[in-house]
Amino acid sequence: MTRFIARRIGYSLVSLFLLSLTIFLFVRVTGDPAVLLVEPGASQADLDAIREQFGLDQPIWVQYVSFIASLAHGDFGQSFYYRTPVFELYLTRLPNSLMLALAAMAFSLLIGIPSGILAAVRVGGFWDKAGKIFALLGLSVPSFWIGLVLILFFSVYLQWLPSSGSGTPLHLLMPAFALGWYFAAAHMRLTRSSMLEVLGSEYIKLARLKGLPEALVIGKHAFKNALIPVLTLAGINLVIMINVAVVVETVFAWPGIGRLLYEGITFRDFPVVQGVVIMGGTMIVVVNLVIDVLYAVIDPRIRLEA
Amino acid sequence: MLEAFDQYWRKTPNVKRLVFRVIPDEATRLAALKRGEVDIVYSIRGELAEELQRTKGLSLKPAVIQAPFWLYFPDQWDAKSPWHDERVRRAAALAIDYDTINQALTLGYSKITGSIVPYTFDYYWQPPAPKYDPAKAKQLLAAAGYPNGFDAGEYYCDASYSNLAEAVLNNLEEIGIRAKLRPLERAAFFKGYLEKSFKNLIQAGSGAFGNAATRLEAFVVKGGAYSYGSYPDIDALFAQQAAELDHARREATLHKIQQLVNERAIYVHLWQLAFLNGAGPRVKESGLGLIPSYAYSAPYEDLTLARP
Amino acid sequence: MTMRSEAVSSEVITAQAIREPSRFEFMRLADFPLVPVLILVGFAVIAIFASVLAPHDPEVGKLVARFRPPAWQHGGSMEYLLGTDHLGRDVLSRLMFGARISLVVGFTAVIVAGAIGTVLGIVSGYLGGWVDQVIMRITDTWLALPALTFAIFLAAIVGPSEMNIVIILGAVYWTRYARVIRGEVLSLKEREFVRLAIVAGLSKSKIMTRHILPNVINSAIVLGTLMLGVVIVTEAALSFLGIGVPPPKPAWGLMLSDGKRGLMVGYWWLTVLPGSCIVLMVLSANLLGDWLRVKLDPQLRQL
Repeated sequence: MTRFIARRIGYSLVSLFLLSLTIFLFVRVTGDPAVLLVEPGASQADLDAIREQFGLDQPIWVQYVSFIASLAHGDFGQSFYYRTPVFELYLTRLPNSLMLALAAMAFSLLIGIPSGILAAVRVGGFWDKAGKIFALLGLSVPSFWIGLVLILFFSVYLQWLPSSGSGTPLHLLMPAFALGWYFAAAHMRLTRSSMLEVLGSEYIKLARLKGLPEALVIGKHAFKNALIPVLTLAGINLVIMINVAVVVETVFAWPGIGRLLYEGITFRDFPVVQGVVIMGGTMIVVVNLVIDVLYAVIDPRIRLEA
Repeated sequence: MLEAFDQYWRKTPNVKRLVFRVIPDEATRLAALKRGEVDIVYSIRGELAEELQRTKGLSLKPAVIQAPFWLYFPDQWDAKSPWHDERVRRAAALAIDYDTINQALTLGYSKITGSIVPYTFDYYWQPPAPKYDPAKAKQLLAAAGYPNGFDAGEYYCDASYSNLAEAVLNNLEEIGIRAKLRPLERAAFFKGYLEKSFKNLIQAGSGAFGNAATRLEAFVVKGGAYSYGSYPDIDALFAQQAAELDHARREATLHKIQQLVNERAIYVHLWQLAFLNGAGPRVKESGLGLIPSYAYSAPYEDLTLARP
Repeated sequence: MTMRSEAVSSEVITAQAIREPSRFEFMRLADFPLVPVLILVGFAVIAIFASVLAPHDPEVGKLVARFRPPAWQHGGSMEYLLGTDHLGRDVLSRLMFGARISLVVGFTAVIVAGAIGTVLGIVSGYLGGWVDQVIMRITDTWLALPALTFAIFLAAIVGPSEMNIVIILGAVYWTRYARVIRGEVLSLKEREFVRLAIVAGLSKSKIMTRHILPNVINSAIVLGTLMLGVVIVTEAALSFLGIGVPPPKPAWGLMLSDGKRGLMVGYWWLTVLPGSCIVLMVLSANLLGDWLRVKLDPQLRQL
């Protein structure tokens, strides 16, 4: 067990290493990194000063080590625009994104799971076909367009909901819908296939043979087992949501880290951009690790497989 | 948040408490005003301003501030640059549809004076009104050797005024001058402007106080904070007026300098900005426009509410 | 363990892929997706002949004609069939040239990503060993980072331009190909004809190019059509954020971003129209891709 966890952690560390290396190399290798690391509108003197400060003329592995060292201390540099440390900025905005992601996740599960179950239970039927169409739309209709259309209808025409900003639950409705849309379709697909798999399993056949009422079979036995992979995916998707919420947060002027990333791009605030990306990648690697370990704890077969 | 101070020397303020809310997004600001969440908003432009005007209960209050905006050609002293040729600069000046831009972005309230010096300043010289003549602009460009226009490189501006920049770029493109918009956040923009890091095209404005002489000193004359180059005859004239004690003669010299700036198209004036603010139904006296040339609501002690 | 965590740690699409067969089972194999193909061909034709078809210049507008509504609305005119934007540019013309941008960027990016991914997938799958380990670790790491985030990061570094976007999208999406192709190659390695080739003394590179490559091309193509939709949406997202195709080019995502300002005042055509075009194109690409997958190689149902 411990060996498994140790191996899994090692795997994650490698991923983190590669992630940081990728980010580091991309910055250093494409063009002049000093231009990125310095405020826009800076003079030649500023550029030279930055070169010194970051030791950009030193051998590359030395630079990498100091890069990692500062990351480990939580030093992601300082935002040009806000003039505060990036890490601090990130932490202040993260709760907003988390709130949005949770709302979107709730929405996607509330829509995705029941429709997935319906589709599986009535395979080939109306609900299944409707589900297929929904899945297709979820993949093809971009979240930002959904957001814009929602604003058009609910804010401009109907005037029911506020078009941007945050503060009240009403502000949350549209962004959550727009963000959750894609994932609702994804969760529906996974629930459906997972449910189908479970329904065809020996365990269920046995329950049916035993004469248990169908509702109980589906509701109690099949449902629980089918749900496990869905919830697992949901866990990962939550973190992914936080990171891809950039566009939705921009459309709705929602003050989360997605919007922070957008500001970073717009104001050429590179430390912010780099910080958000590093944190995003790290979050995902860590969450993957946690979920895998939890899985192993719950399901002994996995440990043995490893 | 400001709380009223009862013993203020002018008078007791009518409004007991002023709450300031920072809402960076223009559309959100307007939405807040419409819903009554706020009573006064600053800076609403373009189509949103039109919407404000149309909405019952809301009033639009323009304030022309002493901030002329211009297009500057930092490359004009470089013999290899197209901007070195005066005809090219004048072509750019003719290509811009000043009135329509004014109408579109500030509902016509901005003033097209033609000068980088605010018209309220001492020693101000009134240039001839800027003209919009794209056909003539194209002719000038062709005469200068650019019948199909040219790639002008980068167009730097303060990000808050990218709407103006986009409209100007649109006009320039019509006569074939193409450039890439580079909006910068204000602090970064002014830093770059000051440190002369910019090339090609700069769109800027200045609300700094002073008179025509101080304005010219900073922007036109050799050694000025924002002068990327200078012309010896203008420098000579400026030195002359600096030593001149007679008011009339000094004014004449300053007028002459401004005339040269205008003729040589060292700058292309875009507008003298009108700041558009909005007030909600709750406000009786918004304080907007009470102090001339001042963009914001003031003095605060004069603010009154129509209903609580 | 690897399978599960791979399934769990991959992007949603791949996770789905490993688990279930085509989600469009209700479409018979013989059912050619006529409408999607027509739509795509329509877009392609418009894109190719945009210079001839478009009534106005897509990049320069007359400010006096700004915010005109579409022809059928009050205030609209036949001159600007679908209305104008904030600078007076004709929406119809912009949409047409925008189709060109979407298709060109989309196709090129898919080809670039496909080329890199296929080559690396073949090399990684066939050669195995540490080469495989290195490539796979990189692939896994890059796959873990959401494509949009990664693309934004790269765009922030190199700056926006049409060419850069293609390269960035290629750099972000090649990992999808590598994974799948490698899997194919692994199973191909065990096949008779490959074994024979090895016995016959053919060099590794010859085997890879002459025998392996032709057999994985199918998968690459199908994956390509599936990726086209994703790539187009990502490009639109990047343009919407301002780091994709730069103005004044009429990329649809950029039109959405510009149109957003008119939303509050009810200028719906500036967002609904470009957005609908994106949806239409992506939807058609996805339907076509899925049909192709089912048709070209049932084995690929694993995709």
